[in-house]
Amino acid sequence: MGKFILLDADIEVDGVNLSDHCSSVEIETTSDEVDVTSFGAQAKEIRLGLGDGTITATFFQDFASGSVDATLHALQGENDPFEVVVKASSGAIGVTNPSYSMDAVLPSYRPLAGSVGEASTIEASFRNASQDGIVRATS
Amino acid sequence: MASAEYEVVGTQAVFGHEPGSKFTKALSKGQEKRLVAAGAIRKKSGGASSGGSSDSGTAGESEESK
Repeated sequence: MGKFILLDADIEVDGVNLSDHCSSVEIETTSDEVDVTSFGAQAKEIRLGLGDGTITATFFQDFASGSVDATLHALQGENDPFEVVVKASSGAIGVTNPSYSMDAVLPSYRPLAGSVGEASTIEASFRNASQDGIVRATS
Repeated sequence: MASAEYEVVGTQAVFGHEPGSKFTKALSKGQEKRLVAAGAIRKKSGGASSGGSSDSGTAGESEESK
């Protein structure tokens, strides 16, 4: 497979496919950097600590039943984790189209933000809510 | 969790099922409640109900077979 151009990413939030309202998505996995440098060292010694994950997506707002606002509003502040699944393209999961899934919570949600005449877009940051973090799957 | 039949009544696909289609899945109570509240799905039949009642209805609509 050659260099990849993002054209048909797929995002499902709590089972609801919002891909046709999404214009950007970012998946980030991180680990805390823990400094364990001792006296006498000549260089810093870093170990990795707690892991974390965030999936950030930009959606065009839609107040229709079961669409962006209805889905995200129901999830904001919900402490029962829900699944967010992102694929590079809408095709079947495979070696060249892995899925990234995360049990998430949505700490904040802004249903409206914008100026006159602009498309109403919202950014949602889904935060990791399980010990598994972001899970990559190819089957 | 017992499986139940749901209909996609919102404008977006749910679990890969297009609007207007039906599917059978075992949803947690919390997820079912959220998706019904969001107007994404409607419960058609099946699943366990406590105390002989179910929270799957939508205001203003008639109850369907359960």
